[in-house]
Amino acid sequence: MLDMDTHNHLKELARFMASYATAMLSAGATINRIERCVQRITRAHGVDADLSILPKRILITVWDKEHTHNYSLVGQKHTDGINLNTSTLLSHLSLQIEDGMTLEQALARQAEILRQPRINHWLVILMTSVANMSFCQLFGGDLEAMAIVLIATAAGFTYKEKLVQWHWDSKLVVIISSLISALIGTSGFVLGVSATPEIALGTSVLWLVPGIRYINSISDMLRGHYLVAQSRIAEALIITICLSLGLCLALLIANIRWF
Amino acid sequence: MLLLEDGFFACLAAIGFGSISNPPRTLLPWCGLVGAAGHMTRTCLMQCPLHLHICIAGLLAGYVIGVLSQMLAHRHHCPSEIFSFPALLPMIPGMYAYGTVQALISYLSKHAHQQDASYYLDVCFYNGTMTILIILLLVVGTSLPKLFPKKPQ
Repeated sequence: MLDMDTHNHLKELARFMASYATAMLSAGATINRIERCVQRITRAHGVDADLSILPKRILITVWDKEHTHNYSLVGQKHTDGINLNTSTLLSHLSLQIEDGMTLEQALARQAEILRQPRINHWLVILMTSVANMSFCQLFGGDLEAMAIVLIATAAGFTYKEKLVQWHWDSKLVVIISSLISALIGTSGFVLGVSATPEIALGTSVLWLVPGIRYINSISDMLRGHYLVAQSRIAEALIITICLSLGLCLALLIANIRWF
Repeated sequence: MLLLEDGFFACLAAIGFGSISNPPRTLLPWCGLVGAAGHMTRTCLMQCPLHLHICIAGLLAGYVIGVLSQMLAHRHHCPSEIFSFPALLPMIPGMYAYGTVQALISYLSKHAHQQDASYYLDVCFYNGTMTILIILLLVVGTSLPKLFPKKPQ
C-alpha cells in the first residue's frame, strides 16, 4: 500500500516537473537556470531527479530517496516563442516551492503563469520600431533615415505578425518581412530623401536579428551544454540567413549594389 | 552630451528589442537603464584615447551589464538574465551578421561570372569572425561576475 502511495507521489511530481521544465525550455530560459530551478523542487520534495535536456525534448526521471522507485517522463517543447516573463515567474515559483508551497498550489500557480497574456502586440510593434529607429541614430543616420527605419520596421513587423497568424513557415515569414522592411529601407536611395540612405537601408532589417537566441546559445555553451547551444545557434543562424536573403532580394529589386 | 545621447538611444533600443521577448513589464525600464550603461561604456572605451577594439570594449561593457544585472536581480528576486539579455541586445552585431551572408552571395555570384572573388571571401570571413567574437565576448563579460564566489554573509 505504501508503495502505491510512493509511486503516485513520484508520478504526480514527475508530471509537474516535466511540464515545468518544458515550459522553462520553451520560454527560452538558459539550461543552467532550468537545472537549478528543478533542483530546488526536488530538494523541497525530498526526491532525486535526473534531467536530460535535448533541443526539443526533456527527459526526466524522478527517484525516491532510497532509489527503490522511479517514474520517467518525456516532455515536448512548444513553440510560443521566447517569454522572459514566464521564465521569471516560473523561477520564482521554484523558490516558493522551496519555501513550502504544496504540489496542488504549485500546479495551479504554474497554470496561472502560463495563461498570462503577452504584451499587446501593437505596443510591441511600436516599441520595436522606435528601438530600430534609435539604432539608426546610433549608427549615425539623419532624421529622414530614422523616419524611414521607423516605417520600415513597423510595416515589416505588422506583416510578420499577420503571416505568423496564418501559420506560414517561420523561415518564409522572416524572408518576406525582411524583404518588406528592406524595400521600404531603400526609399532613401529611390526617392533621394536622406543624406544617409545606406544607414537607413542597413538598419531597416536589424529588428529581425535573433539577439536573445545568440546570447542564450553562447551562454549555454560557456556552461558546457553544447547540444542545446548548438541547436539554439543553428536556429539563430537560419533566421540570420533568411533575413539576409530578404535584404539581398530587396537590393536586387531596387537595383542597388552592395559592397 | 554625446555620450548621454548614445545612452538614451541605447536605452530605447534595449527596451524595444527586449519587448519582443516579453520581459516582466515593471522591470522593462531597468533593462533599458542597464542597456544604456553597457552601451555607454562601450562607446566611451572605443572613443577614449585608448581606442579599444570593439571586441574588448564589448567584453568590458558586458562585465558592467553583468554586475548591474546581478545587483538588480538580487534586489528584485529574479534571474539576472531578465536584465542582462535585453540589455545586451543593442550591442548584438546585426550588420556584421548579415554582412557575412551578403559577402557569401557576392562571392558566389562573382565566381559564377569568372571574376576575381577573393575579396568577398575575405569580407565574408572577417564579418563572420567579428559576429561570433563580439557576441562571445559580450556574453563572457556578462558571465564574469558569476564566476567569482559570493562573499560569505
